[in-house]
Amino acid sequence: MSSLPVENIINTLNLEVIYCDQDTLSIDIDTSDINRPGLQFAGFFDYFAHDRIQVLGKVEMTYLRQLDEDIRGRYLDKFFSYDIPCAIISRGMDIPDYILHYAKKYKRPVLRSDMTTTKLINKLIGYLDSQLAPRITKHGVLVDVYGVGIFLMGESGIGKSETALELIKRGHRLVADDAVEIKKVAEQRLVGEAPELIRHFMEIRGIGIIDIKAMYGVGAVINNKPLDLAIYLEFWDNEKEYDRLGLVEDYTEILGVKLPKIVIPVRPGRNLAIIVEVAARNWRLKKLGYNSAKELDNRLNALIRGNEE
Amino acid sequence: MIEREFVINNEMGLHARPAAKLTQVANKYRSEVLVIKNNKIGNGKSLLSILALGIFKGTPFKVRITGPDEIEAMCGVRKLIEGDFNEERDQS
Repeated sequence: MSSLPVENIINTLNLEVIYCDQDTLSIDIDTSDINRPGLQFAGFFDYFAHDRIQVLGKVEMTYLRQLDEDIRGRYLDKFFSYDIPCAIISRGMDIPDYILHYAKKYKRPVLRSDMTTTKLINKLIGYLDSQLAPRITKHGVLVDVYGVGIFLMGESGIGKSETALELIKRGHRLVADDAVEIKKVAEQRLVGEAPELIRHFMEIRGIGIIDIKAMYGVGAVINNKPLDLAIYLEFWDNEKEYDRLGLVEDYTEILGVKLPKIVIPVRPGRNLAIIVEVAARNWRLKKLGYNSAKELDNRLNALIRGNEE
Repeated sequence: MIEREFVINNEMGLHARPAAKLTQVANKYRSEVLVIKNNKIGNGKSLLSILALGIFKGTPFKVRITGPDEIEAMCGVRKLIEGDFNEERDQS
């Protein structure tokens, strides 16, 4: 499981820092769940999810205000003594001293947001989910062909980048060359993007590094793209049987997600870009419920039946 | 599989030129060469993939080599990195 520092959340969600000790900015959060500490403020600390971000909304703040001072102090002291990553107050509410006192005592960051509580929680969970999603960096090229996210794989030097270049020239878009950061954003959904440092750059042997965005314009690139189909390029092997029909579906697994895979043998004179385009079109046809191979099979079967009669 | 940890002493870290040299050396061998920084893995045979790791001066990183000529490959890589990226010619 990955984690991310509090600092990133502050910057991304535009939170106001009310109190924060310098070292606590780098505290890592490793769960995308949120806790609203209503029950804790009522003194019930069993199963307290102290590793989560604590969100204080209007209810919590109002409840604290009307609480007896001694009791309030006791519960707040106990609350902040747990190693909570941070407490966020929503709706831009004023933060009374009794909260800050105990936050400072245990050096827990206190942040504030202008958003309403539900909206803030929504945004927090959305952001944390995307940041904490399982991820992996894979060698390959990710291109968007007719809206289909195609992940080109294969050995170094087989011509993945050259194929991608030809695809870009034909009006398709580059997501990432060489290194693709793949994130599992939902149960059956992978999204790929380029590491920020090398975004929209490509390496072509013999020429060197090229900047696709500068060369082909913004229309030729896209920042991230869900992966739909994996295409594995390999040197043509005369011993191996390649799929002639396309009736059987093969898969590859990335982060536990099954991704349809096709293997394309590479031989001089084969225009890989066109083959990739066709694979994308075929994938879309299949998605729409039309399988060319099955269709041909059906026609053939109908003819055979006709002959028998 | 063999693995070894390195630290770059070069003033600029693993910038474009040394990274290119590293890929050149890695590409001479048949083994798979991986460059690992924290939990990020880059393919040692691909320039962009190494650059994407962002290895600066003093950053520890690991090189993991797996394959038929892994020992020779590790020797080559080690010579290159420990010789501050100047010795890659003598090596071949």
